[in-house]
Amino acid sequence: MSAATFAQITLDGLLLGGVYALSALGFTMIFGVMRVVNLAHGSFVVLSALLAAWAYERYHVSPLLVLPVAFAAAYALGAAIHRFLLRRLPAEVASQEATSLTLTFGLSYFLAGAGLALFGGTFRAVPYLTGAFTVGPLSIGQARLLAFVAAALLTAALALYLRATPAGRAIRATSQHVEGAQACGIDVDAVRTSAFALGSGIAAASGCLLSLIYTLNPEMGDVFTLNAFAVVAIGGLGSYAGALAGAAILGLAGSYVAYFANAQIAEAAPYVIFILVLLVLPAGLMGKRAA
Amino acid sequence: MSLRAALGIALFAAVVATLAVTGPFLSGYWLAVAYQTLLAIGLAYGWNVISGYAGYFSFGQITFFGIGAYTTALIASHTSLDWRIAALAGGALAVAVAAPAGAIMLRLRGPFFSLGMLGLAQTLRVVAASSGFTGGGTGLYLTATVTPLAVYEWTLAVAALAFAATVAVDRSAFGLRLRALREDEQVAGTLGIAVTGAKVRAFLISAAIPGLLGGGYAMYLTLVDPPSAFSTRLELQAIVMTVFGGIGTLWGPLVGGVVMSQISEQLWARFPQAYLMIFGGLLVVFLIVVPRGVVPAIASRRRGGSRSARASGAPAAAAGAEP
Amino acid sequence: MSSIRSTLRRAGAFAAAAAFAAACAFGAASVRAADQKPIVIGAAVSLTGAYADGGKYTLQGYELWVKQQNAHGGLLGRKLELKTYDDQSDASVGIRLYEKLVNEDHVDLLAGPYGSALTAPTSNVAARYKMVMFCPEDAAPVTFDRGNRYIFQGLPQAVHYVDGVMAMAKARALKTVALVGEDTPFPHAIGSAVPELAKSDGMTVVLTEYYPHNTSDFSALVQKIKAANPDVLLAASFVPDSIALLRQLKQADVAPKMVYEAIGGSDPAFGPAAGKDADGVLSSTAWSADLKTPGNGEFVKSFTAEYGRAPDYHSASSFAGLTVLAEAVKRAGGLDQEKIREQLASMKMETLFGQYSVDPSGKQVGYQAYAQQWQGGRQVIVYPESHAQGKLKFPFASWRGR
Repeated sequence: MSAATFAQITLDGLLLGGVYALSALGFTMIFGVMRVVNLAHGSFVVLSALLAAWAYERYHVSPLLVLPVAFAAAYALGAAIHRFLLRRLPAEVASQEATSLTLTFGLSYFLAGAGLALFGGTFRAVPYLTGAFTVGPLSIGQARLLAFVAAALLTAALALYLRATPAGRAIRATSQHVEGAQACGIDVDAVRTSAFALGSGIAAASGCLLSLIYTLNPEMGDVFTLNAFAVVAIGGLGSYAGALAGAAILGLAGSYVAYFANAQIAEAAPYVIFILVLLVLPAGLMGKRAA
Repeated sequence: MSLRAALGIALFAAVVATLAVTGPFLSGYWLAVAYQTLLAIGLAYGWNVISGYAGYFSFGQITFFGIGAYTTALIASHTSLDWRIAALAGGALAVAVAAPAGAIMLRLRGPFFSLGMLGLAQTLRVVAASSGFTGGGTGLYLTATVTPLAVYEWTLAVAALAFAATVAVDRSAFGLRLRALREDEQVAGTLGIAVTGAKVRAFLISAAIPGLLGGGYAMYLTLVDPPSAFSTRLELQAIVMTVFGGIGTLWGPLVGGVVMSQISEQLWARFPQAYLMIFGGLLVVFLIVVPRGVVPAIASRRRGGSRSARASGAPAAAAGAEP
Repeated sequence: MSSIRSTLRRAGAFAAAAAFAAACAFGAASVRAADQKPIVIGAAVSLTGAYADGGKYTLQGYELWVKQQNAHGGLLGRKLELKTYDDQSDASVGIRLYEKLVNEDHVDLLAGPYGSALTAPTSNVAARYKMVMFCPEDAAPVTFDRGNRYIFQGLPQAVHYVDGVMAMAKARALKTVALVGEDTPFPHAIGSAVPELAKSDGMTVVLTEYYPHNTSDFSALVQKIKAANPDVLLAASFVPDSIALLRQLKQADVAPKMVYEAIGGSDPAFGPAAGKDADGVLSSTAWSADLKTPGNGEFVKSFTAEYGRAPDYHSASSFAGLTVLAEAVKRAGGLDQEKIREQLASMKMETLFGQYSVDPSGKQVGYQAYAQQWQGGRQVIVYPESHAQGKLKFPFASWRGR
């Protein structure tokens, strides 16, 4: 094979990594703060992507303009879900993790059903930014480049928010030590609600961008949840830099395996990699070991 | 053996015998309903041992159902052995795979184990979808040689076995050890419980049962393909039923299985378009209203709300969680 | 209360008298239609789950046919009734529902579900009760190769889908073919014909690869296609993978002389979803709204009026399927399943798809598949010439030239 082909495959892998990173961002945030594995994450991504696709099909609105609307709607929905459902789960239960897992599992089905009712079961795609930039022998898909840049920017913005704003600091304090945060006068419940809302909003924002890449229908949510989980499990739950690294690894592995072996083995690659990483490093590449 | 235990065994034998004898008199439709209910109950009992008693919440026990289904289909299509022998081999292979898989996967904790198991199921599904001997994505199509009645009887036997195994776990020192490690694995370890051995054994029980059920399913559908053998739907159903009935309890899977089968039968017949929403919504509502399941809720009501769920085998923490 | 009842009774008597008068006027058949129990046709199709789209299309074809047939006097002088359930895209549910149709609802005739994954398991139920099941939505051969005498295929066999595109490629002296497809039964059945066809047409297959269901990233596969540099790209792909593959071909600037996306390309939703990039893409369809087969124009018109959208080939197939089944019942002169079976196995008749005719296993041998091409946002049949509505645009335009 030529050097150009190899470079192209590597580039494709990195861009794919950007897609993975983007689809995992909200998931990481929610786990980091609340220790909740949000299995409804993918449903937020898909519903917002479908909204973008519908708006484009009907009114030719750019998905980038739908993004703020989807963010706001998902923010509100996420806040409501936390306030009225997750918060009502019994707190001091040994298997609270299991209960919240089951609850978000149920939610994912509810949202998929809602998506079917709203958008129908047909596959949708957005024919927007479908071209590519050419650099020498390499081609870079426009939508994928956008996803890659957005993933990097959103991660940076989130890090900045968490470090530089009082609300962000409260979120970080809560994720590090609940009792300590309470002692400092932080309303932990309110912080968790806003973190869940923010995570849902980010999932929806990424959904709008991912609508340019995926062909979607409402029952596809688990694809994104599984991707997000694989990314985050490799990188370390709750670590944003780790999530980026995990996404890059998955993207590159997927691209190389699909080229040198075949697409079927490539499909198993994320699972195999994350199981292996977890067995060697139970907290992921950059995750902090839970107390 | 106490009188109570003897009575219990007699009652259990009578119920199973009645179900076995009524099979031939059921119409094809009711036989299908009974089969699906028994299958769901069996899977729920299988799932409940590792996830409920041991507290290792698995999203991937369907892996072993798939192994059972493929093994049986392969043996049935290449040899003239009785399919029940093939199904037994399927169960055995499921256990053989589960032993190393359990030893490895059970090193993971909490959501890592849950989703690690999901990853295992997906990996096996991909292996089945990309291997020649399993028919790839097309799967294996079998000629219809087995009657639904035979599959019903097989499934009844396995479900009864699953119930009996749960009784054994629930009433034994082994069960106590599992509950201890569910509450706090480190403390259980320092108390001298062989933690790893106990959870791997629980995992094997939870693999054998779906492994045995898978063979019947293959013969029932006369086809095995990756989505039907590693069905997320069946996995979800087992989880929902157990959570609804009462996770980590003896009667939870049975109550959950019967009630949820009925609910879904009614819902799906009436609201075909909205069943995903209703089903998902119901699961959410159950978790808020009866987070520990129906069986413990009724048990604590009967005891006048006293916190003695402990005595019936429900976890101490669960009793504390009762609102 | 009693006065209402007596009014009703009076109305009933009046209706009976009117019916009698009508019977005298129009002959005995309509008396029977009014008096006898309706003939019930039972089917379980997917309204939810993975096959919900196809299932819905199938159901609409069934419903429209029953409605129209009743307007034309029903069947054997009796009214028709359709009894349907949702199988939730789950084979074990499908089995239960066909058991219900046979044992609880005592339907007179069975029509098939949507797709091979459901037709194969549920057709066993039909065989067990020795009931005929017409299967309008299973194009793969596996279901029919298991010795079930009671099932009949309504779609052209998948192995013939590529006939048209291969013939056009041969006519243009193209030499190399790349075959890719989703790793499920239908695409495999389509692809299975390619090696031999290529050999007899003097072409070489330079790449064969099947990818898993739900694959969304095709960049590596596109690089392999680029390296293999085929004249013809045959993709046995559904809607989502067809769109993603096409997009990534564009991004990598890979444009074989012919691009064929078997199933996804024929879906009406493909055009709007792929936008301008759809132009030039070939696909196969078993049926088209523009075919000049008997009754096709009326079918398209009445379907559009009923459902507010143009019919697709699934609805057409389920509609045509019941037409065939009804003809077999008429020729058998009653509802005796063995007699209906004999008719279906031996008869030939013209349908929306062309001539119905099956081989001894029940597989369809009468119809052919048509090759169509997206041209300026429209699907145009380009092969065979006898049915062509336009000329093939050749070659597939390079991406930069667009």
